[in-house]
Amino acid sequence: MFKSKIKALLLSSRQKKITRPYPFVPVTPPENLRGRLEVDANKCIGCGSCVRTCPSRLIKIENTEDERTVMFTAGRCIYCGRCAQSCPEKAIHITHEFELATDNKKDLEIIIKIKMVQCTVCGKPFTSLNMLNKQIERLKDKTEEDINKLKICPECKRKMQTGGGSPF
Amino acid sequence: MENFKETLVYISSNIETIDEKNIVIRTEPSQIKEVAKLLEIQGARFIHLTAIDFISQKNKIELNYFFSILQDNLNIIVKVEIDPLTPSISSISEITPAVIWSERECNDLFGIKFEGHPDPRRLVLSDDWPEGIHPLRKNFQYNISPPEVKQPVALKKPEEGKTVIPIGPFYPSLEEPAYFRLIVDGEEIVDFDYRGFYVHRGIEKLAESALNYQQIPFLAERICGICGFVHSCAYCQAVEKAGGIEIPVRAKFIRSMFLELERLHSHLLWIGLAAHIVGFDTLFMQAWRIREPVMYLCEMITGNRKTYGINIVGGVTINVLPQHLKDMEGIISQIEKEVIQLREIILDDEVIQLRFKNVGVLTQNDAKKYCVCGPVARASGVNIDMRINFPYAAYPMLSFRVPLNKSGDVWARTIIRLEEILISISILKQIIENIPEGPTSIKISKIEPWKEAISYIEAPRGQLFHYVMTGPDGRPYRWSVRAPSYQNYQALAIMLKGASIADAPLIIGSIDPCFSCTERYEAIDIRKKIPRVYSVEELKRCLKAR
Repeated sequence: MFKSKIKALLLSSRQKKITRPYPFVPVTPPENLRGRLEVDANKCIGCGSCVRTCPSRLIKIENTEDERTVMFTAGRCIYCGRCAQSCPEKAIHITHEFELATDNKKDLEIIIKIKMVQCTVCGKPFTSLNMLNKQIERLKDKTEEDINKLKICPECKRKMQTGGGSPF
Repeated sequence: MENFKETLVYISSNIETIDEKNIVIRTEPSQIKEVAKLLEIQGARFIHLTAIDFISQKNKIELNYFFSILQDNLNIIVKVEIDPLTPSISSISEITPAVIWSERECNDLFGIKFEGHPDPRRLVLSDDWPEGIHPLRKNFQYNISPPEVKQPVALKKPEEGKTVIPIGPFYPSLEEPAYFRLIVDGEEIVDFDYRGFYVHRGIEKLAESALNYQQIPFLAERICGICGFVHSCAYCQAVEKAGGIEIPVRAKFIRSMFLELERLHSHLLWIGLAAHIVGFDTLFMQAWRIREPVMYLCEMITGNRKTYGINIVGGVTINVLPQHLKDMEGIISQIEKEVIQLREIILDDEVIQLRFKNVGVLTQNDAKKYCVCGPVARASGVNIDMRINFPYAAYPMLSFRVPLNKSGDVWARTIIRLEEILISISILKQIIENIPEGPTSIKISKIEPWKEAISYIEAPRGQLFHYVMTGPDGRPYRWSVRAPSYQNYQALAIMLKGASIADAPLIIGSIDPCFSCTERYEAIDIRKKIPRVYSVEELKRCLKAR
C-alpha cells in the first residue's frame, strides 16, 4: 500500500506540467493543420468540383446574368480539406489559421464572384471567363475559328451540328 | 463446417456461399427460430440485426441477421423477407438474448413487430415521436421532422417495496447524457433500466439519403468522440470490399497505425476515468498526462488531435514522413516506461483492489450469451479479437498476442486494458519497422450497385461492425453500424444485479460505455439546436432553465 503511494509520488513528481499555457502563450500550429479556407477568385473557374466533394455540403453555386457566385458558408466547415484536394485550379488554399471564434456568422462566409461569358449566338451566359481563358490557353493552335467556337454555348453548338451550316 | 452446411440444408435450400468467409442463408419468416437455434448449437455468435427497405423494388422488407463462427472465421447472414403490410416475425430473444436491443431498434426504425419479445418498449425513438412513423423506411424523408406527440413515458415499474434510484439523464462521472434507473432493495441493486439514445443524430439516414461514398467517411468519423477513426475505417473497408477495391499496402499500415494510437489513448483515458470514479485523482491526472503526447503526435501527423479526417474510400489522404516515425518511436518508448510504472502503482494499491475486485462480475457463460466484445469479453475469458479472427488492414502482417483473464470483474478489465496498451505499443513498433514505401491511396472508379459487404474492426471498446449495401445513386442503399458498446450495455443488467449502489458508477464505467457510438442514428431535424429526444418533463424544465 505504502509502496504504491511512494511510486505514485515519484511518477508525478518527476514530470513537469504537460498542459500548454494557451491562450496566454500562442501556439505554433502543426505543419498539417487544416484551418480556415482561402479562395482565390482569380483562379476559380466555377467548375463545381468542390461542391460535389464537400461532406458538409456548405458550398453553393448560383448563376446570375453576368456573374457566377460561389458561396462558402464556412461556419459549417469541418476542415477536411477535400475541396482543396479536388480543386483542379488550386484556387482553394487551406491556411493554418484556427482561431476563428466570432460573434458574427457573416465573418466566416466566403463569397466570390466570377465573370461569366455570354454565348455569341444566343447571348445566354454559359461559362466563366476564367474557364474560357483556360480553354483558350489549352488550344494547340490558337486560330481565330477555334477560339470563336469556344465562345458558343453547348446548346447552340448542338443546334448547329444538327441544323448544319456555320454562322462564320 | 461441412457438417454444418449439411444440417442447414434441412432448414433452407437456399444457401449461397459468397466466398470462403461469407455464407448467405435465405429462409422463410416462419423458420427463423429453427435457424437461430441451429446456429446457436453450432456456436455462432450473434452480431447484429438490421432491416433493408425494398418496398419500392419488390414490395418486401428484408431482415438481415448477422452471425459469425469465430473458430471457422465464418460470417453468416440470414436473410428473411417479410411483407411490409403485416410486418411481423417471431422474436429470437429466447434463443439469443443478445438480440433484444436490435429487435427493439428494428421495431422503432422499420416498424417490424417481434412476437414474443420480452421488452417491446421503444429504444431509439424519443418518447414524443408519433406512432407509425418509421424513419429508416425509404418513404420517410431525412429532412422532415414530424410533430411532437404527448405520450406516456414507458419506464420500468419497480416491484412493491423496491425503490428507484435515478442516475442521469446526465451521467455524472462520464459527462454524457444517459438515464440509468437502478431499482434497489435497500443497498442492493435488484433490477436495472436504461433509457438512452439522447444523442441520436440521424447519421445513417443522412448518409443513405444525401451524401456520396467519399463524403460519408467524414460523417462516420463523427459517430464517436474518442474512437472515431475506427468508424471511418470500418466504413471505408466495407465499401472497398463491396466495390472490389484493393488499397495500397502503405495505406493499410497507416490505418493500422492510427487504430493502435487510438487504442493507446482511449485505454489511457479509461484508466484515468476509472481512477477518477473511485476518487484516486493522482492516478487520473497521471494517466491523462501520459496520454497527452499521443494526442500531440496525432496532431503533428494529421493536423488534428482527434477526428483526423484522413480516411477515404481507396486509402488515406496523408502521408507519414520518416521524421514522424522517428518521433513516434521516442514517444511510445517513453509511454511504455510510464505505463509499466502506472501498472505497478495500480497492482500494488490495496484500495483500488478492494474497490475493483469481485465487483461487476460477468461470467464466461453470460459473456457468451450476451455476445459482449472487446476487453469486457476478454476479461471474462472469451477469446475474441477481430484483429485475429477477421484480420483487416495491416494486421495479417503483424504478430501480437491477445490477453485473457478469467475472473470477469472490474479488476480483470483494468488489467486487460493495461496489457493491451503495452501490446499496442509493440504493434506500433512493428509498424514503424515494417511500413513499406508506396502510394497512400488509389483512385476509385464507379462502384457497382447492390453489392454488400461486412467489415469488422477491433475498436478500443470491442468488436465494431459495419454493413454496407451499395446503391444506384452513388451512395450506400443501406449502411448499418453496430458499435461495441451497444452489445456491452445489454450485459450491464447482469453485472449490476446484486451489486451495491456505490459500485454502480464504477461498473457502468468499467465497460467503457460510449454513448455517441451506441446512439448513432435517428431522423431528427439537424438544424434544431435542442434535440427533440429530451422529452421527459423534468428534462424540459432543465432545458428551459438553461
